[in-house]
Amino acid sequence: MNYLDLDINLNEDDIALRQSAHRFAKEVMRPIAKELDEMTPEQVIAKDSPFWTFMKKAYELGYHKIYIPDTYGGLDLTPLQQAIIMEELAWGSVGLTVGLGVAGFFAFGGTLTGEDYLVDNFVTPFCECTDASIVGCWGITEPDHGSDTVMPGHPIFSDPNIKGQCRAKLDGDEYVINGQKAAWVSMGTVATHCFLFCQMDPSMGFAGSGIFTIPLDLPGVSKGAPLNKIGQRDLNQGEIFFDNVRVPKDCLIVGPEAYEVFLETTLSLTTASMGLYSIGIARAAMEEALEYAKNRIQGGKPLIEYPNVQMKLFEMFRKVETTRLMSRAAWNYNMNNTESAEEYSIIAKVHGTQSAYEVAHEAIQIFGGNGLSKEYLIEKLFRDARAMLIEDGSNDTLAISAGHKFIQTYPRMNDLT
Amino acid sequence: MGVYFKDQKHMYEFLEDLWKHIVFEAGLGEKLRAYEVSYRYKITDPDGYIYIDADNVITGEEANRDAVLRMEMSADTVVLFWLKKLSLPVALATRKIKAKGPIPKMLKMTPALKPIYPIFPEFCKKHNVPID
Repeated sequence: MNYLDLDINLNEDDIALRQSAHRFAKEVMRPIAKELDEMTPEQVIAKDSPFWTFMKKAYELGYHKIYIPDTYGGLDLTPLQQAIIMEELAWGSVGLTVGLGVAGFFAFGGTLTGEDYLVDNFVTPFCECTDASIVGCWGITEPDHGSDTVMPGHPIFSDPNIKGQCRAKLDGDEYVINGQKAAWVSMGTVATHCFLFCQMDPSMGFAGSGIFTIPLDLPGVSKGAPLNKIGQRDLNQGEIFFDNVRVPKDCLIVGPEAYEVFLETTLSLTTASMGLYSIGIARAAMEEALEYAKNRIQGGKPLIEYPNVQMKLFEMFRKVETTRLMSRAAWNYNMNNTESAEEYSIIAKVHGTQSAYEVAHEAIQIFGGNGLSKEYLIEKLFRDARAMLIEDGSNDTLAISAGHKFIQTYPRMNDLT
Repeated sequence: MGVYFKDQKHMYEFLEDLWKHIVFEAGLGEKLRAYEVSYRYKITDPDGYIYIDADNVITGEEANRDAVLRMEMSADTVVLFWLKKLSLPVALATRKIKAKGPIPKMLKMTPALKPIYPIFPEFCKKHNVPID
């Protein structure tokens, strides 16, 4: 279903990208996501699973490298075009979209430094890959530290009593990595590479960490079982263990000297992405409800003729549109400023995911009993949206983090003249 | 005042010479044109501006104009960055370099700027910038 875009500056390229992403979401992602939703986590990632059909098609079309500039082999997309594609893919399946986005983080990290080692070993091969044989994961969360890892700028982030469970130590020309990452590592059990966050100087708490781009075929790396969960069952997640894993020191992107602010910048993009994904899933739920309300007859007339249903649909519409405005604005601002304003991205994430959840919830109410049935897509959208309230930083934690930031920085001024 | 340049005049002579070489002789100009990128650097200690696009390398107040990518840093940071003593992510995170403009364009330009690294020390030598 097409929609009116309030951005009057969209050009022909933007619209063409939206249409092709929507076609892919509708024809490839929707049916595959539905199939994967009914499988076990092991079946989802099996060799002959449709998950790999999706991945290969996405790689063939270049959707795995939407964040990477064309001078490295990626796509030459503007921040707005990236936002448009993220919304459309999430309309098809938010779980598959998160996985695909995460798959490229390690390579995107390489482009931030431009260092030959990272470009030659990771960025170029990833961009040239068209069969999904190179897949990254987002290795930040730890079994005892979920929210702890996403609080840059907050005092607890510098608390030396909070010890990380995955640590890196320099030994000659190599870093030695020991410990583990949690079962919530997105794409953890299928990944060939990792965008890895490790504590390096425990006296600084989590602020004393570093970010590495590493391959996962090294001696000492092992993985846990894929996680079974309520929603986004098409998104692979699972543990990774490190036992004296040695990586060249060139794999380090940023160390403790700049980690905290660098993480803030990274999170300002990932949380805004969650806001963009929220538009897609909320729109999907709204459209399901609209269509159902037009066709379902109760009391001798279609549901849509009842004022309370019209009001519910308007509320859904309002939430979809405001989520798009806020999420695109936060994404655009933070993609145009290296001094990020993370609290605005957190507004996009919290507002967007809460709206997506409420839209899916109200949509089920319109569906009535049918909304509870596996026969209709809406119950999957509801479960997927529920997961988003916790995914990528629970909304409660993010609110604490953004609240702290807001108090410290308001009124934030852009001092670049 | 930083440690590398005697004064604003010294800095402008150095930067103009370097960037004119890179843009007009080493081929960066064509890339700037193709990628539709222009730069404006606001520099401190000594203070000054430099503007660069496919056809222009301008210093002084005239260079304080709108550009696709606007950067702000100290003169010492300019030198340390091109000597590879400061990585871009670290410089951005520690606010030694501030930047405004599309990050995709900034990253896209990184490979095109690589030829500056090997010739930078030669230009320092030529202009008596004390890097040793």
